[in-house]
Amino acid sequence: MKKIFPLFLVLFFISGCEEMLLGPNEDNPKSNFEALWNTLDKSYALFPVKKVNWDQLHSFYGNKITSSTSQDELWNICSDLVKTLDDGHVVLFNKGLTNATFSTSVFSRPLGDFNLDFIKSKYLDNVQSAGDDMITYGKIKPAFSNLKIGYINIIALAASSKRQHWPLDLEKVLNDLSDSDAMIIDLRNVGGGLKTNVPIFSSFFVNREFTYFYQQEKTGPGHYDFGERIPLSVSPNTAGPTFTKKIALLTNRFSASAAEHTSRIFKYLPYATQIGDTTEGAFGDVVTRGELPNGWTFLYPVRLTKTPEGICPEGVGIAPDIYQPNSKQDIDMGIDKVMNKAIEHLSK
Amino acid sequence: MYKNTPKFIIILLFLFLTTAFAQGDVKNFIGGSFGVSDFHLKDIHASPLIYSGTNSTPSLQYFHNEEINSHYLEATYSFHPLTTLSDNLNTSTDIIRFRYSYVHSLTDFDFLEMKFKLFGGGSVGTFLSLSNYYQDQQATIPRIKIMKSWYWSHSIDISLQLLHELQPRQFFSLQLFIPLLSNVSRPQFSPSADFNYPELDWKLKMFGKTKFITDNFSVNTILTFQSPLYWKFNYQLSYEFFYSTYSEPKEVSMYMNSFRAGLFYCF
Repeated sequence: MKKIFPLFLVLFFISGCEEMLLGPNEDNPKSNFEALWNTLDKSYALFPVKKVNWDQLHSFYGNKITSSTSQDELWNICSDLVKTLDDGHVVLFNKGLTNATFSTSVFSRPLGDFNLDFIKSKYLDNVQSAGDDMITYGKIKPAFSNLKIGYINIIALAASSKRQHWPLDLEKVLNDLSDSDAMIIDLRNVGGGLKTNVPIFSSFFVNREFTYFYQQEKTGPGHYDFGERIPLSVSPNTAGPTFTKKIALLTNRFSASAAEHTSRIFKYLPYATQIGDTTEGAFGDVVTRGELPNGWTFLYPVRLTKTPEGICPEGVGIAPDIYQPNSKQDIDMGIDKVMNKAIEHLSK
Repeated sequence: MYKNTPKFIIILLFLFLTTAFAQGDVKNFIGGSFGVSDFHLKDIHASPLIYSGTNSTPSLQYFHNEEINSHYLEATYSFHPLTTLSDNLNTSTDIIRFRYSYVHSLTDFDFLEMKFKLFGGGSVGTFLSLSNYYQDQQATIPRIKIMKSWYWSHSIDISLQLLHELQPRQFFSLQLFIPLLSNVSRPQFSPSADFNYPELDWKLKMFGKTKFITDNFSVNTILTFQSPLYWKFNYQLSYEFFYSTYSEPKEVSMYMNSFRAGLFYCF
């Protein structure tokens, strides 16, 4: 027994060296920066359409970091790095999720060009809600048009507090608005949501089945390592009503992600007109989470989205058919120019 | 997934007991052991951080030692809540292993004035490390599951056993297992590729790519000491070391130290 005891010791000491077997596990400014840069380098899907030199950015920002870099300084450096991507799906969070840096530059734009309460009070009759209060709908007051125009606004395409697929309640909404000659669908300030809700929502307004986007997922560490094209398609709702008369789709710069997917679908509808401003331009999909040794986390997309024609609208957005900007001053003065333009267009 | 595991173990043990009794004058040791296991995991697919933790680990084992050959069967399980550098990140990891090994006598030799028997052969086994990654958030949403990752290897191994018998029912055994050919299941490169949207969870796959030793390296050593305790019962002390590394879709490495004490019935 005594002679075999050293064998126990040898095995124990070999097996006790975590760093030797698994590599270093360090929380220092450099390792945190490297974890952020490396994860994005290998897994972020949108490098092919982002005009950034990721290696140069590594040198530029990495050289600013020393062992004495404070957490605040590191936060600023990492924030600057993710902002170079200008991507609505890239977000850096601190450990307690009390602070976040959004990569997108859209928030530097002026806010306040949309106010639902103002629309409800000025433009709508019979205001109701549906879809776990995600949908607000009503009828445009007769004073604005000789036609019967319905109005549908959604807060977001995300899951409600009760379920994922609340857009199925559009069946009730369309039944209530069944006498409408035209419809306004307001996606302004809809910041995104579930990709699965896009075809459900849109199925109530399309008149045929078609593919509106293709997506490719990262399958390797290279910036161009992608898998097969995955079609995103929509088809008409067969279980209930659809609305395929004249439609005005309202968008602004804060219509993002799933709202932009929806906007893209409506581009294929000859009876739909997009009015307002260009959407944000955030089409990366399947937002994935990464983590840093210091407990900070970050989000990034792993899918590249392109139109059937092979064009990626990332950073560009879906441009309106009728450009009509709004401003906070307009709303404060009691004018929603986008609503007015939509009613004018539909009433022609 | 684990619902039928106890039944499976009982049936296997029954089969081996039946075989062993039929063989008459042989050395059979069957029993269970319990101990602590220290597990360390770095799975870059899920996180660049090393997660580690210590927890209990039960194991069922059967030895059938003859002069010229030896059979060994084991079922091991451990559950590890793992932590890392940052206290808001953690995982729960299940480790499951089943193995059958057959070794044949290669040579007898003396070393340090002790007689050893060296056996060589092969084993088949399956090893699963399944980790759910969590992030602690604000009080309103205290904990969210953010990722599932796994390493599941079914392998044909080289198996070596060094046996030193001190007296009847008392022996030292050092076993070494190295997979030669494995089928390894890992998540796909992007976490979403395995995500089952209707079930809102990642879908574990049982089988993956077939790899040779150079692409899926593992080493597992088990040092065992058994000695009579009372009547037909032996006590057993064991120390086990396990290490594995694999590179797809991103590098995963893990190692585990386990210390167990157990009770074995000898017949």
